[in-house]
Amino acid sequence: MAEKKFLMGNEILGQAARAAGARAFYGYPITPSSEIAHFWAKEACSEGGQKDDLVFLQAEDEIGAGFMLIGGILAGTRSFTATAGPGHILMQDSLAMAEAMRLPCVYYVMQRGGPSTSTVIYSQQEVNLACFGGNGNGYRIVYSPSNLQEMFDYGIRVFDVAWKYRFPTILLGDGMLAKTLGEVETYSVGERGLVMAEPEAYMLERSPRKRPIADIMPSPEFEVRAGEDGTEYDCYRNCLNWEEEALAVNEETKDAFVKAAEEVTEWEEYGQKESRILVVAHGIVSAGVKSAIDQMGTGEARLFRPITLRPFPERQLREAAVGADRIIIAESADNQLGRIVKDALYGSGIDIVEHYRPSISILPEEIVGLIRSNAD
Amino acid sequence: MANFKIVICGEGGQGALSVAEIIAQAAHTQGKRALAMPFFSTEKRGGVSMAFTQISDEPIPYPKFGKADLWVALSQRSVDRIAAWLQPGTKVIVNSFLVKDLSLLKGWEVSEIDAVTVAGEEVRNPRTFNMVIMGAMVGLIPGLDRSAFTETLERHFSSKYEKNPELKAQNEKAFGIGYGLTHK
Repeated sequence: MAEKKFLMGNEILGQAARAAGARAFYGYPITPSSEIAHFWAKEACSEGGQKDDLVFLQAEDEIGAGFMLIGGILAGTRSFTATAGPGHILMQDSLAMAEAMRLPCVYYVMQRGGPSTSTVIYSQQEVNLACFGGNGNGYRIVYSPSNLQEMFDYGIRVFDVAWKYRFPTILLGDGMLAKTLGEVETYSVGERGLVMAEPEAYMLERSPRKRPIADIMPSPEFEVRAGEDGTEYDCYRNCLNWEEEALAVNEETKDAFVKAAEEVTEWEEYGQKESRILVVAHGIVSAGVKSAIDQMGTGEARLFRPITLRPFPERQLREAAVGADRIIIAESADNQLGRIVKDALYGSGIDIVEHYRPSISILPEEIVGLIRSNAD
Repeated sequence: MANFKIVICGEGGQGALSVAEIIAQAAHTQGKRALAMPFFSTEKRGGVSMAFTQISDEPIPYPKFGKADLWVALSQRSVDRIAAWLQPGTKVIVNSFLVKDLSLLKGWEVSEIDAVTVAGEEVRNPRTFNMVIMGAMVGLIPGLDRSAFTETLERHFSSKYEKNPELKAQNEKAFGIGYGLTHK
């Protein structure tokens, strides 16, 4: 039943995973994401959690946790992890494998300030890592929520999207969202009419599979092997021998990603369409931009906010940029969102102002000043 | 009520984060919009912790802010850490047991509360000093009813109350003393 609760962002994510029907958490606690692990440990020990056979497993580190997560996914269990900062770096090991093998792993990542051992609370400096970490081409889906309610909403959605499109899916929050205590409306997927994609085992006897394996994974990586008793197993291969073979898998994965992007890409525009300044920001910074636009009330600026950082709403941004004299990119990082935005806008000729504040929050008042100083 | 902004800062372990959270939780219980957000360094103890609370009748767009309506320093180094959040008219509370140098606070009306001594002498438990401070804070927050705190405190400290049943009455007494010091 829909219910207003007063919770910390990390607890909201724990509740979202539960509402999404997640069964297993594999992780290693790290500030500012630890309360997600705490929540799941407590939940798994509760009466309801035991009834639902929840799994909580703390690994020796994030590398171990990431590969346990992959094990859970291969076995067909709706599984997830949560991490931050240096843990996110280690988690790229399994994430790159998940990307290579089209595994629907879910990662809740709460960005924290770097260089790594400085502030543990806030930054937006893990955009590069979330979108493009690893030795692949960045075929992952990355959501950037901007407030506590979206932490719940997208905290559920990632589980559907991951399994539906078979790409690793990241909810990229930050320490501020993770640690803020506030009101949220929680609900069950049933009452909102949400249908969650069902998990399915990857390594399985052939007979019980519900749909053709070719629907799920790039064909060159898949082969059938017989067990000693003659039972045939779907075997998933992650070792490609030839350049041509690797290219074929890459192209197949890219095609699937481009196709998924048509349905998955999300963005938000805010403010009056005729405003001459377009501010591009994501996550909590975009919440500050909205507040700045409201405070000014003069229609000088509007917001374009990518909700998915991967796939990035490139065409939508180019369309939104039409009529803008100037584009301001604001982020709590140095040229991470900026690089993606400039790539999307290549050739537009619009004047771009880059406002990079790595590891420090950008207050609405600061954005008001930024807009005013660029309004002439 | 317009968005009322509170910043509180103390040494790690003094309870600044808990105070910020309990006030937000109690405001929520009263039907207000509220957010509480901590900022802390890597050391749990030995570092300075600060926290931001906002209370409003309207949705609150962003968890952090630049200037405070109520400003609370629990230790001397907290004064420097949050000096930038002062603005004309900011209500100021200091824990004068640890804050001795008020030179940065000239121009503000300061409630100097020797919370540790008060908690030690009147409540017989100096560790409830942060409840004295919290009571004093609530006395200065417009539109907030102190009655909501009994329930919120009970929820927040339920496991501690189980181990130490005396603490409940002590916390409530400390809170009431603090409230009486500032509420007009």
